[in-house]
Amino acid sequence: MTVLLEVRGVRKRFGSQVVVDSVDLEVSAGEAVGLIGSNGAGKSTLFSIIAGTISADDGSIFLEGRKLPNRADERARRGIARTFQIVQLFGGLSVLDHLLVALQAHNGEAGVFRDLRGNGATTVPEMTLCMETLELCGIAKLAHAQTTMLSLGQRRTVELARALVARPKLLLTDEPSSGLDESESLRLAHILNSVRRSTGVAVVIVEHDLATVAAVAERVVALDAGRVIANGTFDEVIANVDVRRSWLGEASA
Amino acid sequence: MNEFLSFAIGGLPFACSYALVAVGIVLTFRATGVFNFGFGAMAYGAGVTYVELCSHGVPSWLSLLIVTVVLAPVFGALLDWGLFRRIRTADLTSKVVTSLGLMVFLPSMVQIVIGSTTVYSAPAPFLSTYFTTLFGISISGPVIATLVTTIVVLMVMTLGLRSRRVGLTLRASVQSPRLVELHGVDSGKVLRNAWMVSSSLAALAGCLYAPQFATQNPSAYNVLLTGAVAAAALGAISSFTLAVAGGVLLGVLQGVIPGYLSPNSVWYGALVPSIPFFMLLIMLLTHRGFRSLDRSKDPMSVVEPPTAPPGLARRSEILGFSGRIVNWLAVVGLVIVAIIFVPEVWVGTLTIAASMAIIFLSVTLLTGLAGQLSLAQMVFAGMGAYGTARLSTHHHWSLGMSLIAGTMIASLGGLVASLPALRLRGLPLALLTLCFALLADNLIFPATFVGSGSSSIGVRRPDIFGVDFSGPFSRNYLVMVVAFLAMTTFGVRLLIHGTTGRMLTAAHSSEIAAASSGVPMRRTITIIFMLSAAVAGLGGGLYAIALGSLSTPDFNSALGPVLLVVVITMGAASVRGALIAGVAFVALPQALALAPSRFGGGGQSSAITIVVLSVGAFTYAQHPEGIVTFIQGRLKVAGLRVRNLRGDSR
Ligand SMILES: Nc1ncnc2c1ncn2[C@@H]1O[C@H](COP(=O)(O)OP(=O)(O)OP(=O)(O)O)[C@@H](O)[C@H]1O
Ligand SMILES: [Mg+2]
Repeated sequence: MTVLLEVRGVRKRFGSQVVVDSVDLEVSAGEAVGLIGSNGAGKSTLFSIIAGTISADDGSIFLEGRKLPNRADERARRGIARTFQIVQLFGGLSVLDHLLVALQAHNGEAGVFRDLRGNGATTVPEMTLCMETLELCGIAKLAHAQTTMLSLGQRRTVELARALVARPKLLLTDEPSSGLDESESLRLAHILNSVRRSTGVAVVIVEHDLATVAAVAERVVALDAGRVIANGTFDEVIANVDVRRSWLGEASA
Repeated sequence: MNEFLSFAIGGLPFACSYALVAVGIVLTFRATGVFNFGFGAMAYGAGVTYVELCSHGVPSWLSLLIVTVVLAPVFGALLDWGLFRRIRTADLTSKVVTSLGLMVFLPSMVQIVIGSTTVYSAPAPFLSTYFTTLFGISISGPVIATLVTTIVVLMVMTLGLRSRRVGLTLRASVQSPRLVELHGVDSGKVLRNAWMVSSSLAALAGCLYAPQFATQNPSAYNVLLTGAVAAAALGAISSFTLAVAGGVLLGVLQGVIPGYLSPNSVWYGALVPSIPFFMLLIMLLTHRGFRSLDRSKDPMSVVEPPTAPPGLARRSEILGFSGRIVNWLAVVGLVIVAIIFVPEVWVGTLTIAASMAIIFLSVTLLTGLAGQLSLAQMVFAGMGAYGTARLSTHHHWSLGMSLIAGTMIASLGGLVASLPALRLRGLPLALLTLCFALLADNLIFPATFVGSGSSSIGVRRPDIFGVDFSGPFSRNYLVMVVAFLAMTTFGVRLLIHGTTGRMLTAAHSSEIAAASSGVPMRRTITIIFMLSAAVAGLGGGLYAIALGSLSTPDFNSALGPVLLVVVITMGAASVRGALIAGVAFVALPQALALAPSRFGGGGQSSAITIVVLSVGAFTYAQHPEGIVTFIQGRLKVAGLRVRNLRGDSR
């Protein structure tokens, strides 16, 4: 399989604390990778570095063999989408509007010049794509809802739909099932799998809930104090001595 | 050396005033999270009161005591109780808007209260006849008194704040008033004390500042505010020591620089007012903490941003075909009315109102749509006005060409202003644009290649395509301005309801999520800044042509905050706010001038207008949608009720 994302020797420190330490990570096109690690291991920071919201001190990141631009919005337009550990929705916009923002921005089809030409209204293809995505995520009924009224599970799904609407090549999703009950987590894992099947998007999922990781990820990478300590199938990584010690909290086995 | 010292000593009274206000700014910002733009206005009020008391025979030292120890703390407590206590948990923008409201509201209020008579200079509070010579340099008593008073006051205050308890409680009260109260400290009292003390400081600054001027006018106190802002900025609005140092530095420079320049030099009038701007600019560019004043203080907020606040704007879909037809019909109707039915005497007024409305629309674009707080919109209008006037009158360009050129000059100004806006938002941007406006006032508009110093330049009102636009009450010209207004209104509406509005609403609520979704914020902000400046420039150009002559006060930098506050008061989220503001801003003084002086007619009309139009800024934190939308909402609710009642009775 072709390599989609290539992270080489990325380092990041906050003050004196090294949060991400020479991390190498490869993700193939269409692959699903689970990223696990204890609280504060640097998972979200790594996500932010890949997405471009914070800059690494060192190292480089390639998408499809090309170096990524610096800014987050440029990276998004190159095909990197993400969801956040703490849900980030746009206040004052309906669910459909959330998707429209992402879709039009991604295609470079939003902006002052389009509006001033009088073409500000949503086109039929745009509308179709948004509704398709909502359908795919199972929230088509919520299209015109205001997001403040939604439950946490629904809000996470909206965030996911927003990330997927422009058909990204890589989806970074940060703890999608935190705060959700078991059945909701399962539903979300199910959505992720079906999205992956139908769009072929590669997924990197940060997750503490092992059931969700097992349900989604084909390969698991374990992070501890900013370092990659294990990389392999779910069972291999869970059985790994270092992982058991650092994360599952076992005394040396 | 001696020469230098004597110049420096001349700057000391200014230094003291800057330092005092700067310390007040830092104190309230640290204690309450409010950056008070109103301190300059409060100093003005104090200065005027002091002068008035003195002129009524109260000894000057007693007047000083009354103003600073009695009146000012009471006023500070009132501010806290009536205004700032209510917005303690509001976001920074609400706090900025509220304090800008104070900045705009107070000077006009003071003018109304004292009547239209000019307030003249007062004696220095102490030692007004004393004179001494120190190391061969003569120093006057008032300078010594000012210096000693300032040093004593600042020392007492610093000692008070040094006590760990007070300092900690202050800071904790901002972060979480509830938590402080759980520990048995009355956080309300802490905040009130901060307001009382800082209000006193501003008043003292005002009283020491007043004798420096032959007459008291608000713009001198605007300079005081700008200087204090720059001084406070030197310590990133958190260090008292650096704030004082900044004030002293500015004051001394202000004394020294003109001393060494020939009064005929281009730099003579321009260098001093530009110091605050450059000081602030350097601080903003170099000091990380200062740049991100607005971001959440939580260090984790970059990696894991907090949940976005629920937005207030409810976007409606873009107009359908029938809606557009109705709109066009309305415009055509307006133009016809303008051509035929407007009475002769109102033609001039309406022309000016329409061009003001265009200027107001530039605020709707920048603040309502893009969420950027700019206090320099009047500068862009001025660029358009002077550009148009110069090119048409002195270089004999045609009216159309010079309007276009003026608009383009303004939009280039907007491009320059957008550069810092790529990094700054909210408060830091507001501060920078405030200082920029002062710079433009003193550096750009009086320059001989732009205006002509303080005297006015004429503006031609030529004809195009054989249609005559000349004459002060030209109906043709009114039609032209109304047509421009309609075009601008449509453009702004298209943006608000189109993809841009949606994108910017998203970015306003969560900039990180918007960027991660691919929203190109930098480009969008730059374009909106340029457009907004262009709109302001167009309005300014039309305004200049309507006036027939231009002088610097027409585009005074003090008007920038007025524009912002008035549009926000009326509602910045839709075009209606700006349109109503434009008409009200021009029509209200006219109407008031007709009213008997007992009801505010005559000389006070423009002050009353500003008071009336700015008072809504104080309710911004509760009703950010603005008065127009608020009333509309209320009417809708009332309408529903009536309908329900009818339904019930049936
Ligand atoms: N802006 C910042 N400034 C200083 N330290 C930071 C910052 N952001 C993160 N950190 C630190 O970096 C470390 C890693 O944080 P990160 O959020 O990446 O962890 P995580 O693996 O996502 O943890 P969790 O599972 O709890 O989400 C933490 O120790 C945190 O304190
Ligand atoms: Mg995390």
